[in-house]
Amino acid sequence: MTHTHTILYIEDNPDNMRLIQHVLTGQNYTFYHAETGTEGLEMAKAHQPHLVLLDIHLPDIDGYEVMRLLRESHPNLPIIVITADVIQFDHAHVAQMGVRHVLTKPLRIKELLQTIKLVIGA
Amino acid sequence: MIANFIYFVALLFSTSAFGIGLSIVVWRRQTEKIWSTSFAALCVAASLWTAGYGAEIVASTLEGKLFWAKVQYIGIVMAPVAWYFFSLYFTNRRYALFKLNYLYFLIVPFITLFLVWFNGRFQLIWTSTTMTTHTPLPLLAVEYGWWFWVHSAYSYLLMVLGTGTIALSIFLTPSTHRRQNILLMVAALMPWSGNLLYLSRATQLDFSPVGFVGSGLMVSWAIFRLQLFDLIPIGRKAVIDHMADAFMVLDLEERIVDVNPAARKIFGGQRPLIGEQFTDVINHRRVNALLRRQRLARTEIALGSGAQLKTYDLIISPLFTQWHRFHGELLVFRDVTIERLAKDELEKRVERRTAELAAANQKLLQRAQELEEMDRLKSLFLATMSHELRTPLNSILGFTELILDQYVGPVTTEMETELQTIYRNGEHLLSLINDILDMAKIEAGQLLLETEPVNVNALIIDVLYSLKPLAEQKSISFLTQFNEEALYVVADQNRLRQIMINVVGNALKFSEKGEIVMVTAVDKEHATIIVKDHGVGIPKDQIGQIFDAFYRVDDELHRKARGTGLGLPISKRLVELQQGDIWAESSGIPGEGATFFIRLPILSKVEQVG
Repeated sequence: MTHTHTILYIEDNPDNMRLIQHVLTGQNYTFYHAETGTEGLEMAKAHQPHLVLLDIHLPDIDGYEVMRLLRESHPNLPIIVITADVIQFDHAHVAQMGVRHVLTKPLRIKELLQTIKLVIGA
Repeated sequence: MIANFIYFVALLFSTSAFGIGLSIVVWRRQTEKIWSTSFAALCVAASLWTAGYGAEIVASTLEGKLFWAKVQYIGIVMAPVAWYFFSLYFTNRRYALFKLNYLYFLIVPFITLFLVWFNGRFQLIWTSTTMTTHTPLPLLAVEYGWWFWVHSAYSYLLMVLGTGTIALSIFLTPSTHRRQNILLMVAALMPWSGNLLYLSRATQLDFSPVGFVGSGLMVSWAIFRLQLFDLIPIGRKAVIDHMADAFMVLDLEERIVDVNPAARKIFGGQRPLIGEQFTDVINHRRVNALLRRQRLARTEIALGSGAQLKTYDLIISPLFTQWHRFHGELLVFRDVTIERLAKDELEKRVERRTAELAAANQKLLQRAQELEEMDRLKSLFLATMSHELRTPLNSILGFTELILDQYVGPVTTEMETELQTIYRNGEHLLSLINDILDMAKIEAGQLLLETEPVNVNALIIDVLYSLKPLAEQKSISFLTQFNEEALYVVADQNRLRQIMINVVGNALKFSEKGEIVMVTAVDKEHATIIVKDHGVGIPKDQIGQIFDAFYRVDDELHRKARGTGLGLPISKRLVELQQGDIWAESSGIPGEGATFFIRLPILSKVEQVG
């Protein structure tokens, strides 16, 4: 069960990051992570991932801005938003940028894996 | 010829009698004393003159004739002075007299009278006195002394002045008075045309007293027909004199030529004011400018200072001659101090009130901003709370699931049981967080509903579908009974789903078997969703409390399936926010279950068609 897919997770909370790292490496995805938006953009350039998992609350530039910049540099890169913000989250804004998958924390592992498979087809 | 003399004498006497009568009439009318006095004096003078002349002609001796000639002189000296005074008063040029002590006018007449009566000693009036013989009746024939000519000149001067004054006023007064003045002029010219004839020796008889007959007749006609002495000029004068408004007439050089008593009182400090330069009395830039414009103008001016500050409504009217030449200006000052003060006070009040309103408005605006800020902070707090609580829960639930799914290694059965406990409690905590946030949002008025027409029947089917797995676990079946395919209510679809899941979820939670029946009923304005189960039911005494926050029915049967204690309270608030109602009925007997009613406004027939 070997995946050739690379996933980049941009998330500043180390526990949440480690959780996803466990799950995804356990599923044999190649996993990269970044703790800030800027770092995430650099990693996306460096590793050319197949999918980006993106948090919204980030220490430097927020997830919306990261999304916008990623859309410029990687127009076809799939993005799944993972956020704990269920109240102020701007669904319309995100939908406008072509991101249709939004998962809220607390995450269900099975749901996450299903969504990833749906998006990258593996 | 003698008959002519007799007629003439008769004429003289009747003239005299007429003059006396006229003087009495005028005196009794007394519309204005000073000039009626002068006119009465004129009449008396003419009477004395004519009567004396008549007696002189009739007298047969030289002594007799001389005596009557002397009597005549009382009238002769009086007449010109009375005439002049009368003309001044009548044409309202009294102010000319303020500067001249009118007793001076009587000096020459008194000297003349003295010299007449003592002519025997001084011979300054008559140098010789004889009787004619060539006339039907003997007449007095005299040679005049130099004082006679002095007096004559003086008399003519006064006559000219008086007549001139009246002539002048003809051109200056409004046309309504001109007829009277022309009449007066003609009357004035009559006596001295007669006198001129006599002095030029064209006649033997002096017709000047006869002239008074004409004068008297004309004046009396004027009195009775044209009401010369009262009503029009006097009426006007009386009005002006008694009016509280100050009245001033300025000539071309802006000198004051007439004022009423009010003006004297206000601006003159009882000074006559006549003849003074207007700017010496009132120096006001705006008024000066308006006067120069020589047009009809109205303005409000403030004069004086401190407690003496007065406000006047000033009307300036230009005066024109009958040939439309500018001739001066009429100024009327009305004291409007009280009105001005009242207006100012009102304006001040309005200003103050406006300021107060503005301040109140500002306060309200500030308060609105504060409330807005408070709202913003509340929203921020709720969002932050939600985010901050979910983040650690993500790790708790996530790692528990991770371990349960054996990502980190094999899990024993005991471990799995306890991990399930952690997971279940984590889930419960998540429900609590969700419910508390919902509750907080509702209480803070932060919950925004998006109401739209919702097909309840379809929604129920959808809800039942999502709850089907739970029902199957307990072998509970759902039954629906709809009268129509689509029943539209006005609601927020997501929130209505939340309510339905809550109510049907409760029914499942507190039932072990049997069916849960869903019925929709509709009346004029509402649709009611009825959810009936066959579970443990609700004790009758607690049925009113189940919608209170954190209230739980506390008995053995209910303890097994505890929720957050917020499901029904949230449902109730959500239903109410959608103009609906929710209530429950139960017999309290286990197995008979409970029935929940959710009533919501329906889309009216008209709206449904539209």
